[in-house]
Amino acid sequence: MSTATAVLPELDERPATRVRRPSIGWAGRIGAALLVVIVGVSLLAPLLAGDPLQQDLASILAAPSRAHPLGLDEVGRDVLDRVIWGGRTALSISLTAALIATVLGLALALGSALFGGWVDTLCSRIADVQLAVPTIVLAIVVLAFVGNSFVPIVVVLVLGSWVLTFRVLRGHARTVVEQQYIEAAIVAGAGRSALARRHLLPSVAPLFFVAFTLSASSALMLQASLGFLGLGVQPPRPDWGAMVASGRDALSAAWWVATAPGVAIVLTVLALQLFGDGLAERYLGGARNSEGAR
Amino acid sequence: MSNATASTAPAGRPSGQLRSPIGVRHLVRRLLTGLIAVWGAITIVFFALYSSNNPVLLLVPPDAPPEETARLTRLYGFDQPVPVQYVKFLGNVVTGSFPDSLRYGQDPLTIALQKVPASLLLGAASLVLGVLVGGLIGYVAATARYAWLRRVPLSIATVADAVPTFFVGMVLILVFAVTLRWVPTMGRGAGGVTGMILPTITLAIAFVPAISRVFRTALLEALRADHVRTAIAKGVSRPMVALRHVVANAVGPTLNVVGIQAGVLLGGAVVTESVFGWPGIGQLSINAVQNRDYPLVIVCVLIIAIGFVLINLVVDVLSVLIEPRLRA
Amino acid sequence: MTETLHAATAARGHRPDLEPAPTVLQIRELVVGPRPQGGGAATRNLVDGASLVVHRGEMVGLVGESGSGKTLTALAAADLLPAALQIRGGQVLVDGVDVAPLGRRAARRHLSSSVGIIFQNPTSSLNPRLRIDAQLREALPRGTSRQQRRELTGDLLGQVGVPNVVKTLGAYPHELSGGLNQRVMIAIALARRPGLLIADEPTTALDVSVQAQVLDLIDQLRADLGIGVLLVSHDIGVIADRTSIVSVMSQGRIVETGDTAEVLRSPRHDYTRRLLAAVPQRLAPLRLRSAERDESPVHLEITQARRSFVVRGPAGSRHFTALDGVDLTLRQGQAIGLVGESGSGKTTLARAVVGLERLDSGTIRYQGQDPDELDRAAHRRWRRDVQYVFQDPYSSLDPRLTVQQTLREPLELNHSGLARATVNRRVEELLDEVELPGAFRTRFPSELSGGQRQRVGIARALASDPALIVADEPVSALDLSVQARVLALFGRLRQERALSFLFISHDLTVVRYLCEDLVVLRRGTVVEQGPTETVLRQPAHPYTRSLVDAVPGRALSTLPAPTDALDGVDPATREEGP
Repeated sequence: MSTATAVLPELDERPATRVRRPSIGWAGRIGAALLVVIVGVSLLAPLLAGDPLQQDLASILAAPSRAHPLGLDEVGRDVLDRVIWGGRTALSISLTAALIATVLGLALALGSALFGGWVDTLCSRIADVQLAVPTIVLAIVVLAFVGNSFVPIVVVLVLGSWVLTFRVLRGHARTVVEQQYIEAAIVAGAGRSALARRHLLPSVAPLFFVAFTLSASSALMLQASLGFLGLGVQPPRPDWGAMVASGRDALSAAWWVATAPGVAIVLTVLALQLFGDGLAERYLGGARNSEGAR
Repeated sequence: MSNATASTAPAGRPSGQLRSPIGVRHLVRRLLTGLIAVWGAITIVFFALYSSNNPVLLLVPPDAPPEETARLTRLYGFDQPVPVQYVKFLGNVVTGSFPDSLRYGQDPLTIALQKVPASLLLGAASLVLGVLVGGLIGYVAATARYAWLRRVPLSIATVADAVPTFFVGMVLILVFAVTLRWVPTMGRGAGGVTGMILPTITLAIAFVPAISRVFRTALLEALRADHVRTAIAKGVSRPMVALRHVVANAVGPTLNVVGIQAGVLLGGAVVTESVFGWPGIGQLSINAVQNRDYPLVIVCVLIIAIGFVLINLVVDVLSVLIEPRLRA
Repeated sequence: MTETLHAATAARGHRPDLEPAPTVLQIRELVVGPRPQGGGAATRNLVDGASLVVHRGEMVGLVGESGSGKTLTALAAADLLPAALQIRGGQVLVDGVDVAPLGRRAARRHLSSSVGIIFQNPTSSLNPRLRIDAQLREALPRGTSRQQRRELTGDLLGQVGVPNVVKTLGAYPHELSGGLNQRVMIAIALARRPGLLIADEPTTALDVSVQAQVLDLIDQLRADLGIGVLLVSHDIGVIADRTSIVSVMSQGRIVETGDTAEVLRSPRHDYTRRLLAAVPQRLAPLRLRSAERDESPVHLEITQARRSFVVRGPAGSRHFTALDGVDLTLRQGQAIGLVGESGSGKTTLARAVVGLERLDSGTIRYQGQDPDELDRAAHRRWRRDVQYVFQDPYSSLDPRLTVQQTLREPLELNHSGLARATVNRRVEELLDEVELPGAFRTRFPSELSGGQRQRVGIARALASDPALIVADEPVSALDLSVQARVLALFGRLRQERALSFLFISHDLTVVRYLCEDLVVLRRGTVVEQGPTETVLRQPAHPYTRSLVDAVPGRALSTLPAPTDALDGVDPATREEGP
């Protein structure tokens, strides 16, 4: 056959265009940069900050000064040091929980989409039950009776955030499975594992990273709330939520004690969310904005 | 709207009242799903309790004599095998008979139910506020003529989404109660209606971002719909097109998200009540946990879970009323 | 022949001998383009100087392929352009009034009382949340009293031939069929007694028999009410049957306008000529087999295939029977066309043949064997032998994979351990076979046109050297000229590869071109089968007859065969400059 004739454009067909992906946007970039700084500072805490437990009982609730840029707390500890060390606590717990939760959500979502039927029904029912118990209530109960060390906190956070990933990824995976190119692959001889490897995983991957950043942000928020309610990590260890709670009593005398860790929480959550939204914008055309809206 | 006009129509004309808008089977199925969810919540509480070895150790003072512990263990049935305890536990829940509150020495159900109205009041007030503000932001973000108006309010909502509820409450207290002294620092006990302002705002902020985002998306989708073009073509006035064919059609999907967000709302309520000392079920549950008052904890969790199920049921019914396509 | 056409045209309202009827729509040198965004105004115009006239009582056709600007021209006439587009030049006169200088509100008021418009998808053009009654009332003129509105809505529905007026008024759009919703749309369009009806692809989403009824209704309303109709369609058959004047549109320009019969008989513009040559009615049918060769071995045998689905709704589920005992025999090298309307079960049957759907009962034997009973190796062989070409060229290719990766998939899955170089050579050969340049290897689906994607889909099916190809509406999503080329490709493949073919289509004319034999499905049962010509000329079953009668383009089949053979039958071998 002559290929020369084939090069002809078909009558009146629109010319093929290369589709450019939108970037993650300036908000996404700010989020990413902020995230790099926060993670960096937390990793380098031993170099950047002093001992978060060292007390200076003579100058309790001292105002910010050159020696203590964010002042001292109600037992005379340096607030900046505690904020920096608190970042380690917050990030280690919430990132671990988010990773476990998203991987769990991914596995269940892929299983639901590939096998359908009762597997799908079971997973969705479990997710429904999970949603019916407000995570904070679940956390309160579990942590009150089981105790509040690293593992139970992570377990609670995983329980509270895997559903987000599951629902989003399952919805996406199911639409992918309904695509004709999946059936085309079946006709071409692909089995379940080939489908998952060749088509499903590559398609779900960007959404997975979006879900991870958003889960991390919600886990961090919840972890802070638990700390605030006195159910976080054991007291001497610096924890942003607990710092806000203890600074609350001195709000009128020394507002910075409670505000500094609070701002740290907001910045970290915001960085994760902006970055996640940016990723979603780039790869999915704004998936988070349509969450739940069919 | 169409119902009202149809009811005045003479016989033989279609009437909205002729057909049951909601399938009974649909309703029953949703109710069953809700019951399963409540059962799940209760089961989690039971096993959390059980995993702490002998719960009686939580009840007695640390220096209690072993005989006392043993007596209470037998009294509460903690010496029996787990399945037996579980069945007994479920039976108690169904019949509503719980052991007395350890702290107050009364029926925990009575104590908890007394706190429900305060929580409902706070929840309803912030729901109204949150829906109004969220709806407004979403509407502006979808339809405003100027780019800054479409972006700025939504961006503020996005930032607000990153602020944990307890910190929102704290900042509001710091600014309006401590610094400006416009309102009292503490909740309802501290001063009637003004005491309600800050908790209401705090809780509303917890779900304004979600509502505005989803409403915006739903509006954009409704604006793109083919039938809007039809409405314009047939000469419906602009405000009517906006109200009847765009906004009204975007309410359904948004409502669904309110249902999904109900958990967030309840969680936010617990934190808010605790921050402001609001005498509701949320604060009660935190106190109960801190006091290790496990009968009270169970009742609180039960009530919160039921509340969640009820919210979703109401959302379901409303969705079906709004969205005729959901009817069979 | 020409006489009949003229007579038909005259009956449709255009009388060249009489005084011309008043003009209801006049479009002069219309230019439509994107709204300028931040200075960059150099973007291409989508409608570029279109002019046309519609008189009272006249049906004017506007025909063109996708992207030609025909729909935008119609929307511009009703001031309903999408927000991103605007009229950049020219005039639109409705009932003699220039719309543009009126200002937004006055223009809207004028247009809503003088133009009615209906769209391609009637169900989504109605508000899903409101009853038909409420939507009709909104369309009535301002100042109509409550009492009048109540009566008028019923009258309007009666006028457009809705059988059960009371029930329809109380229904929601999703409870009605597409045909009924389109009637409702027509009632809404006519509610303010406009002089002009714009119908934008009004029947494209409907089955052929419903299509004929809706077009009959529009034609009858045109005659009864004396309104002018602008019928926008991609379907030359519909245009030929229904309009007296036609404008042919291509790339934003109207290339030819004239008396419909005249244009069809002797097209002046090259584009019109090519378009007409691509009409499937006019392609010389491909006949590779004669009746006596029916001794060839049976390739595929379907016996008593049954399948029903459970359709779940919020208030319970109901059963839908897709296949209700279908028998079908396909011999080696035979091409069978499987036709039927939506819901006839043709797609279910096709999917069952390639194993994408299970049967409730009955058997499908390939070369005498049920694929479910084969051992592993034989099952793999079956998998390679029986291939499928999908309807939708957009969703049947993974958007993340290049053409090369898509074509490699069946090669890698079926022949593990094939050398890289061999695989690449096979990809080249496959692209060559479907007439795509080798350079397309590295393109993503988003960088291909619809016809090119469908070629890739065909190449993928060919990759495993199949013996039987099941094609489910493979050309129905394509424009006419592209469709003709893809059909020619199918024809060539049949000749060169000695393939057996099961070709599913709703379009009898397409099937007539490609298949010697025809099977007509209706509600899951075979109502008629036999040689294509026999079935089409003397349909035995009333249903087949109604299908055949409903096919638009009767006027086309009376036209002389295309004189320039190069223009028509085999576009694949045609040489042409860019």
